[in-house]
Amino acid sequence: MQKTTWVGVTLMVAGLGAGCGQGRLIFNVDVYSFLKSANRDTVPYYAPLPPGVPDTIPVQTVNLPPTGAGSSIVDSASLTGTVAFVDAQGTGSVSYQLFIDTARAVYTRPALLTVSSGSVSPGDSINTPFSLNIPAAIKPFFTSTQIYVGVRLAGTATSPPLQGRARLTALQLSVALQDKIF
Amino acid sequence: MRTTVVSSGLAALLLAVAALPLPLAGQGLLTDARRAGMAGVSLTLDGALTRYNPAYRAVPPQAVHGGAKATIPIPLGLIQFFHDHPISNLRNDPLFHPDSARFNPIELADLVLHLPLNYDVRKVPTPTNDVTFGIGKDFFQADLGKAQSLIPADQFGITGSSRPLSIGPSFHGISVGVTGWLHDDVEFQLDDSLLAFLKDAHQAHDNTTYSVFGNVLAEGGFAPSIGYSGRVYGNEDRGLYVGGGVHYYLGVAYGSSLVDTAGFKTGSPIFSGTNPLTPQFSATTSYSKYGNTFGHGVGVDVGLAWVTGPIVFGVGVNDIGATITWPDTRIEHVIYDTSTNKFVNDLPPRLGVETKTKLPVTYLANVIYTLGGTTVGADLLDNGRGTQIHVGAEQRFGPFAVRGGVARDQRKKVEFGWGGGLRFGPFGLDAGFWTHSNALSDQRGITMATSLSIY
Repeated sequence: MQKTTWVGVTLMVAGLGAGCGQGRLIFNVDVYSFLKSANRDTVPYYAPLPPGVPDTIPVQTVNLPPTGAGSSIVDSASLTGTVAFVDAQGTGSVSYQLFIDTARAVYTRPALLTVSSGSVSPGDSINTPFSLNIPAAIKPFFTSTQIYVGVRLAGTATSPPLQGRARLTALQLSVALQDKIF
Repeated sequence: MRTTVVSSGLAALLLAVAALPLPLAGQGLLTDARRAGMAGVSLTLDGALTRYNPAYRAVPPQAVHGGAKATIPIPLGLIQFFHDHPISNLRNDPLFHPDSARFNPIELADLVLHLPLNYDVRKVPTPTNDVTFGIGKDFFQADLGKAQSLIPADQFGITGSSRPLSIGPSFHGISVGVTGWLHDDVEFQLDDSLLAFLKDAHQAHDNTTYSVFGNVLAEGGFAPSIGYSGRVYGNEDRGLYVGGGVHYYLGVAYGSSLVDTAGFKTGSPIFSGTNPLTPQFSATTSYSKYGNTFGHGVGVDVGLAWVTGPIVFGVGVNDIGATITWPDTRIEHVIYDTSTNKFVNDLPPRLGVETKTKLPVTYLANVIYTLGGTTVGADLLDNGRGTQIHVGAEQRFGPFAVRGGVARDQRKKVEFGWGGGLRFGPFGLDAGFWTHSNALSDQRGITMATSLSIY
């Protein structure tokens, strides 16, 4: 049903505009809003990791245009965002790893992005902006109808136990396609 | 899918173009360079006038000076077109190749709306801008950029009523024959929500319906006809002519669809789960296909023409009372079933129902004034969807002629024409330029018609 609907929508939207010769389709996807609505924008971190506590979030689904982008060519894709590391206990450093894949088993691949907190101490709240031009091997992911997103927190304690939370405050995905959407 | 969509769209457009009435075709497919140079006005008693005013069939052609016996178009536009799109490469030409990244459906639609018979001095630009979509969990926005101008803000429609074939003898002003007829009417309108979403790049709201509504109709057949045209007062220099015709319309096939809603409803939040949009479709479809009992109806054409020395004035009205009764119509109410993802009839089809359609009444009024080497004229045409006005003049200087004109087309846009000609004895070579809006764009193009006339 989803695809059928979008054929109609595409006639009026993509067909009129996106199909305009060599004009590009640009998708600005607020990935943060998907994680926020699932309460996965804030992730606790521990070092050492207590037994039975996962260092990852459940894999999240992010919907892209439901038609997919067919055989379109991804001109460029980039990620921008900000992570706030709020340390509650201990000192050390934390890395925030972001995983994206078209398969649900996102944690079987290397992280797409790693954001390091630098040194954190109790009471710190360190905002760390980041940006990434997505590598060519990953770009074709964004022609599909949905992608899966995962987050892993890895802490290294210099004064254990290290405990706090990493709070994502923005995560924006921008994809520019050369249209061949049908 | 894209190929199917494009093919369907082209088929609809071709049907619409095929049924365009002559004066509208004159705005887009004018091959007579003299008329092109006068923004579409006809200063000779040719088919463009006799089609709408049967009285002109009786008026002697010499009542208007300077008219050609025949005009042969010189389609320079085809040379230009095939230079840009070689026949040997048509299979791979991006213009016709939906799989090409350079394929542009707007450009293809413009080609159909403005067939390349004449040389395009300035083509209507095709939007090639980027289109930006914003997507969030509860956010969806589409910014079409310049392509927003392609979205009709008001009711959008194409109506055509034509008689592509008319055969039969005429004797002492009485004509008996058969006329083929076609009528199409397409109109649709976006609801306020969809209009704001597409044309103004407003963000979509959750739990909201975005839809189009309108109707589509196409019908055709043939009509045994009898008519009369003759002078009822005066002589050739100063006289009153009348004409009339009665057509018994026989409808071979027709189909119409009244679309109550065609669109989608957003979820709440919009991108919740895997099903953000729910299709919405509801329409009543009526048709009588070939093989069913013919439709039938009677329509009347009337006209009068007044010739008084240098002035020729005429008024014609076509298809008065032309209501076609279709005795064997099938009516279905179709909805989109979201549980099966199919279009289904939610009510039992009604068979053998009598329905009626109506051909648009067409009005034409025109005047031609000739004084020495100067001929000026104007016409006003209403064929059921907007009034067109053409005003033009021709000034002859020995073998040379200079022409100019202005028009208001069916889209209520002002168009201009200018041109000239050179006459060699019984032959004349003419060139006419005119602006046109026969494209999915708010901008005008300029095209040049060239033709050879025989006097």
